[in-house]
Amino acid sequence: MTVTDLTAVLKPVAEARGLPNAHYISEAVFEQEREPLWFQTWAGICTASDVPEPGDARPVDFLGVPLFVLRGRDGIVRVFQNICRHRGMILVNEPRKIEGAIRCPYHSWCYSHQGKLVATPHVGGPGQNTHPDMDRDEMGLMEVRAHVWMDVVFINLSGDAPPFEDVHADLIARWCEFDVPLYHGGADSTFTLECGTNWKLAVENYCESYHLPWVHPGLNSYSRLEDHYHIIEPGRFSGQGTEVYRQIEDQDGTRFPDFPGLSAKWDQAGEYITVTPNVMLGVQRDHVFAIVLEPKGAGRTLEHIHLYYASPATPESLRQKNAEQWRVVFVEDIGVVEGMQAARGSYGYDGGRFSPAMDGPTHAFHTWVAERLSGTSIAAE
Amino acid sequence: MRAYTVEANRLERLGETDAAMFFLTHAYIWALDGGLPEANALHARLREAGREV
Repeated sequence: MTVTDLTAVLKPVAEARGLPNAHYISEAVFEQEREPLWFQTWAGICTASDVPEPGDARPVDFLGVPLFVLRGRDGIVRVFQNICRHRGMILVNEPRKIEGAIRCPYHSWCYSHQGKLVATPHVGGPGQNTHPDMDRDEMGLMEVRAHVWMDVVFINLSGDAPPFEDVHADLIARWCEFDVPLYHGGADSTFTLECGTNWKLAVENYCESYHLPWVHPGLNSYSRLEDHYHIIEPGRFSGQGTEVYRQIEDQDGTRFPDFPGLSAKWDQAGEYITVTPNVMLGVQRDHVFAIVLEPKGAGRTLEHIHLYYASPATPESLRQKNAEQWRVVFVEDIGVVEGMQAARGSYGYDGGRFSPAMDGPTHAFHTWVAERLSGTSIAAE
Repeated sequence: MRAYTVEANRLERLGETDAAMFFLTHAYIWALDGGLPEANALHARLREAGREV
């Protein structure tokens, strides 16, 4: 086991150091993070829009744990471990429609959309499909605890985290005005970016506004640094907000419709929050987005980006323009998160320092990581 | 699915019950796999023959 001293990370922001290099470049530490940061929390794995129709299924590699997501005939999105209870064969190896039962391709054991084992062909010999020692009720699929919020499918693999609604009650309340139908923009409103970086650097960069005038100079014409504010909820989420959100327009001045019933705050506000560990959300009056981070190792991360609107019928050209605008911003961010990743190979780096004035949200995320890795946060639960 | 059912029916008429149930099982599984309505009737036949629950 790799052990790093996180004492300095847990100090107040003015004194704290950042996480040591090993937390970004070491595969051993990446493995260490799986249980406390990913399996025992509520992590995002995809969106409900990824399985839009009953019977739609897709496999998910959750840090090496094979899962699949299925929208059942009852419309409910469920997550199962992607393994047959018989000989441990993978059940769903590509996105596909499951019209009937979930049939194992090995010996054709079949499961219902609720995960119940419904058929065990020849299990008692040829043509004999039962056996007294094979109790189907004990061999249903292993369902994973799941919760859909803001269209993101969150899971708690360990099954023992407090309910999602409790863990994130503050954020759900903060954004209750966006608890309205969110319409995914479709194929032109989703894209994936591959980053040569540890997933935590993507989170850290997303949480703070300090970098905006330097990394995203296009914002400077209308969104100054002082127009932003920090959002810090220790142990839950962190991020930043703006007070000068400007709506995107098409050539003819067309804008997206607003979400219904928003208060005046949202006329010019936009908020950008990371739901730990890996879901980065943004809300504005006329669209929201979700970024689900998929770590592929210590130094590689996929960002799955989805854009949502208030109406199922929005102008295609405007959607494309909006997606492209965000793509430019997110690609600008890749440059810095890959740069930080490359620098984490340095010898003797002490984790760096946090600006007490500007890096509070980033420090809050480091604290969350350090507390969970050291067990203090989990013990408190 | 239908080919398996036809073969099961033929073998059943010949009194070759075990072989018939083998093919009927395959018909049932493919009906389940495809979400076909025939699955219910095939299941009922297997159950009646003591091959399913």
